[in-house]
Amino acid sequence: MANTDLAIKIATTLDSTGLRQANKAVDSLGKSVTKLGRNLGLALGTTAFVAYSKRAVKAFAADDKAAQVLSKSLDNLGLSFADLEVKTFISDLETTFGVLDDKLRPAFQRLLTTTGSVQQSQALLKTALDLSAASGVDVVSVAGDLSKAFTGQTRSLNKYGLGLTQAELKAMSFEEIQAKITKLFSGQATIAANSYSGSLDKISVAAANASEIIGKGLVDALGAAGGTGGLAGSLEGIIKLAVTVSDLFVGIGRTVAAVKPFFTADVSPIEAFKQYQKITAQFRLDDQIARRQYGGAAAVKFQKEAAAAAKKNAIVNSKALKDQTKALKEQAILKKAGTIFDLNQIQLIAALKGNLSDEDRKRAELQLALLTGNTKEAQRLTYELAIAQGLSKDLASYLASLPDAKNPFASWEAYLDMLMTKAQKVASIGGPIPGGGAQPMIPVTNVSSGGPIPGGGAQPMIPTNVASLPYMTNRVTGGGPLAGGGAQPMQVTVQIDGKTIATANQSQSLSGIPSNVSRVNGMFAG
Amino acid sequence: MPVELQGAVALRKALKEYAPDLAKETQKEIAGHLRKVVSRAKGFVPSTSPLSGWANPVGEWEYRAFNTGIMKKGLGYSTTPTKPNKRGFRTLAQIFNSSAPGAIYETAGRKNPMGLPASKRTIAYRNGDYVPAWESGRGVSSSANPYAGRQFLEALPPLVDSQQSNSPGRRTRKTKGRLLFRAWAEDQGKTTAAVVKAIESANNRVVVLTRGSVSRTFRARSNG
Repeated sequence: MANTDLAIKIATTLDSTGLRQANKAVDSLGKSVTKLGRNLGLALGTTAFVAYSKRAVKAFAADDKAAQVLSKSLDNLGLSFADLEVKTFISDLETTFGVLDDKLRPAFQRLLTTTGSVQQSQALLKTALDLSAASGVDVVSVAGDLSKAFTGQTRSLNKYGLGLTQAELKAMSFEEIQAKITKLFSGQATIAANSYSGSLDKISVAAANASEIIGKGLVDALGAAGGTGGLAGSLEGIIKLAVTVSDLFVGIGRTVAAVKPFFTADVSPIEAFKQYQKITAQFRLDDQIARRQYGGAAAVKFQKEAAAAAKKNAIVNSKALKDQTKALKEQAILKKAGTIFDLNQIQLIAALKGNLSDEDRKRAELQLALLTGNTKEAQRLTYELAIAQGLSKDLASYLASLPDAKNPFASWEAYLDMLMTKAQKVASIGGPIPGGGAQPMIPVTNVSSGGPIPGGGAQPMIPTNVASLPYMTNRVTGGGPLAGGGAQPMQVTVQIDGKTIATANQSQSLSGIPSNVSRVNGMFAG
Repeated sequence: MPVELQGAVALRKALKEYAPDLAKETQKEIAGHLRKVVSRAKGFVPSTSPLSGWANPVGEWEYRAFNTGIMKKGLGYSTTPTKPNKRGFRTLAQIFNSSAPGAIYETAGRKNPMGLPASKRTIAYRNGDYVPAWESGRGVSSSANPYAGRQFLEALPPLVDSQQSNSPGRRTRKTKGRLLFRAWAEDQGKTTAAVVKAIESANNRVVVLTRGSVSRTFRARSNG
């Protein structure tokens, strides 16, 4: 179609795709331009200069530190004579392969620490550079892996794809592994260094070195500016300059405030002068107060006083702290000593050493925790014990519900007591009766009194409530052992009530039990 | 003045994908409606120059001289969507007048109905000195005849406004003309309706063809 504005558009539609893209592009462009402008502005500005200076000084400091660390490592290994050689070697590698010395030094140091040989470390570092260029892994990491492999830990070499199994790696010596790596990756670092990327790396290295050199120059310059005071003098000068600039700004502000009344429309010159005097007087007063803390001869005095007071306070505080620490230590010692002789604790500890059930052990531990004041442990054990007790309660309630089992031997005691009493009685009866002056023992029976018991000087024993008993009489008279040495024989006469016996026999007969009376011998058989 | 069709881009994509034949048919249908307007506009081109001098292709007027053939050839239509303008709008259908003599005939007298004012004497600073001079530039007539512009316009037919009093949108001098705009005014919106209807019909048909997978339909509204 013709490119003309002289047209009638009949139908249109909004296609915002392009607009969105355009907006995005414009936004992006705007940001880029802003960034570029900022970068350019900052690059040319003071901020950028200060920032660059900072970076340069920082880079120099880091580089210097790394160099000193490496030198110290060499010294520690007794290889300090090789310091210059190592520095030259690293510098050459840096220039040749475009790898920063910030990386080369740690890598070399790691290898050196492992191998203990400068020559071997140099060879391994070259191998590490080849391996790093081929695999893309950081040279420091590669050096670390080689160090591990040197000591026999070959697992980390798997990631480099050497074509060896773990078993093969373990079986091979480090020299063989190194030879394999050299065969596979030799010359990779050189190729990488000669590529465009390597060239950029070399430029980066040069820029980094330039930063370090500039940083060193800045530090030296600051030192030189300080004169005989060196860097410390420079720092003092910077602070003084800052104070002066600050005072200048304060002075300008005060001058403006003081002369302001002269330029106010409604204020007469005399009134303005009075206000000026008033304002300046206030400023002087402020200065007097401020000088006590911040500046001038009064400040020096104030600072001295403050420093002395602070020193004194520090001493006092230090002493108090020491005393407190000492007291705490003593308390701790006493407490410890106390625990040694604490019988409760001793018993508990002894109990814990023995074989205890879990619940008993918990109880003992809880008691020990309570004694030692270990609240956390006590809380834990209480909880566990509560759970355990809950289970025991259930068991106890179950046992209580069981029926009561009687003791079959419960009545034995009373029975035995009765037997013992009888035995004592029998023993007392059958014992030797003392003669001459001794009183006869009268048994407490229902046998009626009989004839006198013969004995020298002894009274006859008369049983009470007992009728005359011929059987007994016969037995006793039949030569019983009642006669003691020197004692008269005792005669017992038993009178039997025949009626009573007859009644008893009758009752027995009526009960079906026959009774026989031996008339010859005068004995019953029933 | 144009009608804005919402979703026409999506419709166009859908037509291309699902019914390419229908897309071509639609374009042909729209072109048929536009062709009528253009033909009518071509009918307004005079066979002879209103002023004999304009027909002389002399000097800088070589390509601006009156030529009926060129003027008629410059009148045309397009159904190809244009590239989006700076506001993101694409024109789907338009009629245009692209020749130089056709543009002069179409628009002469829009800005200055009585012709350009005659050049006046003034003072110019030249070679370090102030000297008398005549006004120059596009705002003044450089003809020796101070009435040249007015006489030219008087020889042409009057301008016709394509926007009616009840039409949506503004009525400005840019809606007036003697060829396209006159034809468009006489059309009275019939072509616009026909074009919108054709597109709408195509949309309905593509929705049916795709069984509803293309559900977005365009909506026409007057872009006043």
